[in-house]
Amino acid sequence: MKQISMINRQEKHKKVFFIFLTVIMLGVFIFLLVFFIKAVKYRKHYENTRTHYRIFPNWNKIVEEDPIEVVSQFRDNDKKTGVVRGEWSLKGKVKPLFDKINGSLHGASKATPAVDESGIYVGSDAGWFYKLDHKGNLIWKIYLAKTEQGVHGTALLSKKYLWIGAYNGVLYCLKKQTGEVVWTIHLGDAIGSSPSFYKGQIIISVELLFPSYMGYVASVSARDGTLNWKMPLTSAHIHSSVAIHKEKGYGVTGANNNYLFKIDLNSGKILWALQMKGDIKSTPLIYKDRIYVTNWGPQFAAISEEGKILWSKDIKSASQSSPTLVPDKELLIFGTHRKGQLFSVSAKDGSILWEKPIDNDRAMASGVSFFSKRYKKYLFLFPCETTAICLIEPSNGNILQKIHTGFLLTGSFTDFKNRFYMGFNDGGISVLY
Amino acid sequence: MILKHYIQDQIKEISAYKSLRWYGFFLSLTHVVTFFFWHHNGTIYQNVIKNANTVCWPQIPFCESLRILSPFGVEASLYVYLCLAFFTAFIFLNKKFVTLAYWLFLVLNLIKFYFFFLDYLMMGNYHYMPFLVSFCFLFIRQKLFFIPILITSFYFFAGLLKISNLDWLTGLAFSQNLYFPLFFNEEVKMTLCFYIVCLEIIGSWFLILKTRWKTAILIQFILFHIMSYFFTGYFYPLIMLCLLSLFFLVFLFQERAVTSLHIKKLWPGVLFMCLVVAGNLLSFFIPGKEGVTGEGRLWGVNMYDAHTQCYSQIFLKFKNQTIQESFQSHAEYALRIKCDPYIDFNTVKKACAYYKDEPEFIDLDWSLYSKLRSDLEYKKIVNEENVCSKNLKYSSLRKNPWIKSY
Repeated sequence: MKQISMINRQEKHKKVFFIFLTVIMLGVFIFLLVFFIKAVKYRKHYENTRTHYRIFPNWNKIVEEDPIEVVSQFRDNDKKTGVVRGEWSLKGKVKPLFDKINGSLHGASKATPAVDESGIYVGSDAGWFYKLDHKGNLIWKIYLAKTEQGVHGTALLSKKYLWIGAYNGVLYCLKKQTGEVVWTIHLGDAIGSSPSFYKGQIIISVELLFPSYMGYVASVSARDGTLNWKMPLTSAHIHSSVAIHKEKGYGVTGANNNYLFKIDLNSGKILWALQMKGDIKSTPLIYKDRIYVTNWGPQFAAISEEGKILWSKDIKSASQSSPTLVPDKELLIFGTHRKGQLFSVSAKDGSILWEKPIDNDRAMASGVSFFSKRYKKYLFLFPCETTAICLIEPSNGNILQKIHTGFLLTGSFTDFKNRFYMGFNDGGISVLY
Repeated sequence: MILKHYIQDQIKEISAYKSLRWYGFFLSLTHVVTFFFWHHNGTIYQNVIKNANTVCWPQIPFCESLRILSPFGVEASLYVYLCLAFFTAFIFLNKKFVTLAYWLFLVLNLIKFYFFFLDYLMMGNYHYMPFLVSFCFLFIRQKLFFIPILITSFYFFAGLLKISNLDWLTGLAFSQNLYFPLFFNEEVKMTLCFYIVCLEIIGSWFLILKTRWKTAILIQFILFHIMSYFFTGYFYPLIMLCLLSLFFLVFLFQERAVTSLHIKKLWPGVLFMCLVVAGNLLSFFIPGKEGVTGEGRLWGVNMYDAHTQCYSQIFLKFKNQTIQESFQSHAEYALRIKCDPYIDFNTVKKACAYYKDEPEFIDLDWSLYSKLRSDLEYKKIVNEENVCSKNLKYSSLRKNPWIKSY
């Protein structure tokens, strides 16, 4: 009897234990279910909002300048017209300033130096970014890691700081005096374009390799490197720099999928996207409410601000040379690079004024126009040969002066105090005066 | 004398149970599998040889002085280790040789322990778990009682880690895995991930309860490990199958642990389990997600779901020159450690030591940005200027002030 009651008691304890255990486990299961529901909700949110590219917060410091005043040196101004300010007298002499910095490791156009009173700032295709004094002495240099294809853009300079993008996809802000890093932001897999400036923001084109070849334009605070906006992704790299119409608040740039984009610089919204005939590698030019662009189509076209092609010209060979405005005659001059040729086109109606073959099948460079004191008119400067640059009469394409440089120029010229600074394809930095 | 008696007790206990002798066989086989893993993987030849320039464990900062073998020495030792593992496995099956098998098994673990602790890059869950089970097998009384509890605790803590970040429950830990069977869409994947968490946190306890569910749960764990082959390779599932074999052996030979409630018999096992639990709970008490910060996880299980993505930047500052030396963190390292701040901490320390006599060298700045796969943005984990002059220290037991909470 006693034994039976003990067995019953044990059975009862067992039952109580299992009920207790079941309740505990049910509680834990409900707890886990709550986690799971949260995870399902989060996954939906993640799919809707995740970034397809890597975005970094700023490095650590901020730009201590108020206001930040930046002058765009690449293509001479925000609208990328390539027109040099002031009146110039050139002797036509070239002086090498600094030894070989580029090894021609990558096919893209090499970096054009940025120059001001404090010195010369230039990147190399080997990943170094240099500061030189005006005599060509090295002040400092910084190696930008994982930049096997180097730095190809032109830095933006303010009084104390500079901004430059590199082929590791990072935009850097450095102190001009020491080269010290102020902030960095990792925007993508490569940056080959030059930064532009708009209302305290750095506007820059970015290239992505993952999830596939893609590109976008980003707006980053010049002060602290925080991301302001990013344009929706496009299905190809954007190597082209952004030309900016400050007064109207828009920018234009082209991508390797033939599309030209007009972007609202306050929001990053694409105002229109226009399909051209080929990859757009050059920087568009904004002049009198029109946008001019070359591409690999081959095509040179004028587009209205509303996104309509006003005229289009077959230029026979691919071009990644950015057009240069000759303001007094309203001409646009650019080169083609598979079959070296120079074109001069009327900005008004697209009529080709002249086209001339040049001895430079890699005429990827972009020229500049400047008012010559000697000739009392605007002249055009362009690498007419693989180792020479030419001073060209814009109205007929005649070569006024040929200056031997010894190296190929694939970038552009930066003007500062009656001197033009150049970074050569397989060489160093030289100055033309 | 006490120690001698204690060890003799262990040997007696193993001799007394056929299931334990067979378990000795399977535990010895984990060393055979380890040999093939290390041998095929190949990293051991770069990590543990004399003058290897890799990363010491924080617990053994002097590991460089322990690296005494040449590549040939490592190769030869590994083959000795393999032969010994096979030999030990088979002699465990004969009751007469259990004493010899016991000592050889200890030697096997010491060899593995030596290689394992020569370099931090050798770390992995798949070593942590067999080490603990082997320790329990060698030195803890009431093995048939404590080993199942230990294995259950592995699953339980692994389950807890899986709910501590969203990578696992959202299924994102597997989102880019091409081997995942194609018919598993995202919803099925997420449901399976949730089921595995339930299995680990709730189901694992059935392994130590006398219920009819025990076998069903065990089979599910085995299926889970077989499935894990697609993500982790052969090593982890084989190790786990060896560890789980005890449950089958006990069932096969119809043996049960004779648990004595006498504290004298149980205290080593209780103490051991307390240490295991404390080690696993440590990371939960350190602020920040351990999957990203890596803090506290050296004493417990760490999970596959710690799928971190990161970038590190080191700026070496010289007079007139700055060099950004490292950028993308070590993609070549194992998933669990490639974003571990401790790895970069070592790189930084080595850079400081390397450049300290260079007159042009000023100092270096270091930042590390990390995110879990399910996070939308990178966060700053480390952001230190002039690191060399600060002389940063790393502790595996507490929060490091220079690692930001994530």
